Formats: sequence, structure tokens, C-alpha cells
Amino acid sequence: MASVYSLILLIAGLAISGCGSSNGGAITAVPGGALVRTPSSSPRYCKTLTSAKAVVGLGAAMNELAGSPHSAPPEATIRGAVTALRSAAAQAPSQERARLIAAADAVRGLGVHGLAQAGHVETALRDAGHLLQRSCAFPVG
Amino acid sequence: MRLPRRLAQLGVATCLALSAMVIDAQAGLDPRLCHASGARVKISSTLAVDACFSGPALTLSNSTMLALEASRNGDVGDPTRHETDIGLGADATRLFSHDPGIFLPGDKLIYPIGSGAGTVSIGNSNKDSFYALASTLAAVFPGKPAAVLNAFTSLVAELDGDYAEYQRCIVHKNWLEQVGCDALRDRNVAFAIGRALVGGAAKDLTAAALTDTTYIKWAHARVVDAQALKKGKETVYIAAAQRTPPATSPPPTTPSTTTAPAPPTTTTPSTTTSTGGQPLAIGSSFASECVVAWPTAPVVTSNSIQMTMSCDAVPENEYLFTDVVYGDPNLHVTPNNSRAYVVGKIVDVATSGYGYKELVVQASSVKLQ
Repeated sequence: MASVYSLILLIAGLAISGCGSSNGGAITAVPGGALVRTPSSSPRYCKTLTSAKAVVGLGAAMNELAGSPHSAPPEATIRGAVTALRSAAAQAPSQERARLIAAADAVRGLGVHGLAQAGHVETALRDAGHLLQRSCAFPVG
Repeated sequence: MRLPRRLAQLGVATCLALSAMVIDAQAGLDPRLCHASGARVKISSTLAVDACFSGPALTLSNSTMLALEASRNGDVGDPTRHETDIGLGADATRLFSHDPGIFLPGDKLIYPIGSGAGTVSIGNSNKDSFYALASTLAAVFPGKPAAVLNAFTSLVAELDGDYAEYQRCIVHKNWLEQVGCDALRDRNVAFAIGRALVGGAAKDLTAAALTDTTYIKWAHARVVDAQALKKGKETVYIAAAQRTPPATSPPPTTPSTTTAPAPPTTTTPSTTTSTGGQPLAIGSSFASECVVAWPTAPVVTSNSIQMTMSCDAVPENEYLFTDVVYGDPNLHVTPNNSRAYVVGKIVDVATSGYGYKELVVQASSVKLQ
């Protein structure tokens, strides 16, 4: 029975962490498993977001921050995410632009205030992601 | 993190399939646990745990990976508990459950069984996710287990709640929304560990709490809990003892209800005696009030009826039953009309495979009362 359980964990672990080559650029950002991908017909700002490693890597950066709350936040990732969100905002229609700018500001606050800002980050990314879903058609986890 | 989609699908499908295997794993009767007796209890082969009934006791052993709970009813005493997992994670789960029937993997419960009927039920405790998390984090939690048990239990309870909130957050969301959920989870986990005052171990503990593997273990345990809930409880039914078994394994505190036998009708000496002094040797006369020991139904042949009876003149610690053979297949014996005065001759002594003895009487008269 123990070996069966180990096998479950191994396979599930592989599925989550991902190993080997990617398949058509399919990437996950968090254990939730939603793929970071967008159809080829979707607007350019959608692809700007999915190709931004810093935005995808925000989850890992926040894990790091949680482990060392008194250390300096992982600046490069946070700065890169803010830049990518602003860049996508510049390409997006007004409504989407506003949400993406709000998300960029919330992530910037993460760099200044650490995880105390997590509530704002969650709200801003949820609002932006929800609105962008109409045009970007991201896979849902 | 790169995830080949097919691998993800395979992983999820395999995980669910194997989860079902964990749930459906069958144990049932395990004669290594005790000196098994088939009387009174039938242990189903589909029972999730190992079980063995010896007469005075029912032994259950949790050989699954699940945190179960056991409950008792009827003439079943409080169990003696033997725990093999004595780690901090298991102790915290026991403390958190507030349930004396918590039945963790490796635990063995021995229930004393009385002479009456009773049941022992096994169900899921819904503590699998807590147990999975506690077992994972116990290795990196600082301090001696006895000293930190309360703090550790509180921390795991809080993290269990944080993970549940995270799971609700990520469902049916796209990746951008899920990254937002990550932010909340990380904050909640960091704050919980900060409150637990674990000092220098906070970094290791947080890292362990936030690895994908820990979340997967936790999420898998939730799946197991959900599936087990669908399955419901399994119950071992213990029938009431019809008579007190031989002196080698008497059920506790069963008063004898044997009444004085009918006056002896013979003075033939014998080395075997009854409660009233009536000799019970083969060839001796027999006269006693008897009652059919339902649910052992009478057997009727073309020219006789054979009844398994309990007779006042027969000491139960010598002969568990009296097998009465009477040459009237039309004798109208029913559960409501099963008491009779039996007169006849002792013709044999039968011994069952379980070691019990039965007196065999060829009756010349059976008067129903």
C-alpha cells in the first residue's frame, strides 16, 4: 500500500512540477494547474502577459518572500512583473488597461510592503484575469 | 514550471484511479491477529481494515493509509489501543480529532465483547488532510514532541484551513487569477508560521509548507476523504451468545439462567454430572425441559425431527447444546413454540470443529409447552 501511495505522489508531483520538454508552450504558474497559454488568434497583450516569465514566476517569488519575510523581496522578479503588466496595459483597450495597471501597482506594492500587500495583489490579479478572460481565452484550471 | 499537458492529464487520471484503489483496498479477516472463532461474527472480505474475532474480543488493525474512526455499540467495551505511529504528526492528529475512536494507519484496537449483541463501525475521520499535512511538517518542526504538541497542532489546523481556502480560490480560475490565489496562500502560511513562534525554523517550515509536494499530499488526502464519505461506514455485527461458551473462554458477566432440572429418572452412576445430579453418560435416561436454540432451525427428515436445544438438565460449560432426535417429523416447532419437555436416552456425545461438545439424545417423548 505504501508503494501505491508513493506512486500516486510521484505521478502527481511530476504532473504539477512538470518535467521533460514542454508541449506547445504549455506552462503552469501555480499548483492550481491552469495553463499559461492563449490561442493564436487572441490579442497581442494576452501574449505579452503569457510570455512574461516574471509574471508567471510571481508565485515562486512570493513563496520565497513567505520563507524570509524580513529579507528583501526578490526585486528582479517583481520589477519584471510590473514592467510586463504595464507593457500589456499599453497594448490593451481602456477597460483592460485600467485593470492591468491596477495589477502592476499591486505587485509593485509587494516589493515595498512584502506579503502584507498580498490581499491587494490577489484582488488586482483576480479582477484583471477575470476581465481578460473574455478576449484572451486562457485555459481555466 | 513546465507541464506537458498529456502528462498532467495522465497524472490526474492516475492519481484518481489509484486513490480509488486506496479506498477500495480490502482487508477483512486476518487470523494472524487472534485465535479466530467463526461463531457470532461474520467478517466481510470487503471490510477496509484487518479484523479478527476470538469470542471474548474483536481485534481491528488499520492497514490502510487512511485516518479512520471507529465506534462501538451494544455489548462491546472500550477498546485497548496499540499505536505504531507515535510521531508528532500522528499525536497532533489524535489531539485535533477530539475523538477517542480515532484509528490511524498502523493502529490496532482490541474491543472486549460481552455476551449480548453489539456492533463496531469503521468510517472515515475526515482528518486525512490534517494527518497528511501534520506528518509532512512534523519532520521540520523544532522542539521535543511532548513540549510542542499543542503549538504544532494549532499550526497544522491553521494551515489545513489555509490550504482549504487556497483550494477554493484556484478552482475554475485562469493562471493570472491563480497567481493571485498564491499570494493569499503565501501570506496566510507565513503569518501562521510566524504566530507559531518557531524562531529559526520558520524558513524551513515555510519552505516545506509551500512546496508543491506538500500541497499535492494535502489535496490527495482531501480526495480520499471525499471518496470515503461516499462509501460511508462499514459495520461488524456481533450476534448475542446463545449460551455461555465453555469455561476456557467465557464472555464477561453472564449470569447463568439454568434452573433446577426435572427429578432424575435413573440412578445409573456416571462420571459426568449435571447441575441437578442427573447422570449424563451415554446410555443414561434423559428428562429435561429444553428450548430450541434458534436460529438453529430444526432439521426434518422423512421419519424424524432433529433439534439443537438448550436443556436445563445439561450444564452449559460441559455441553454447549443438546441435539435431540425425535421420531415425529410433524412436531410443530416454531420460534414462538419451541419449549418442550424431553424424555429419552443419551445416545452419543458430538464434538464440533470449534471444540464444543453436544449431547445427543434420542427422544421417546417431546411435549411442547
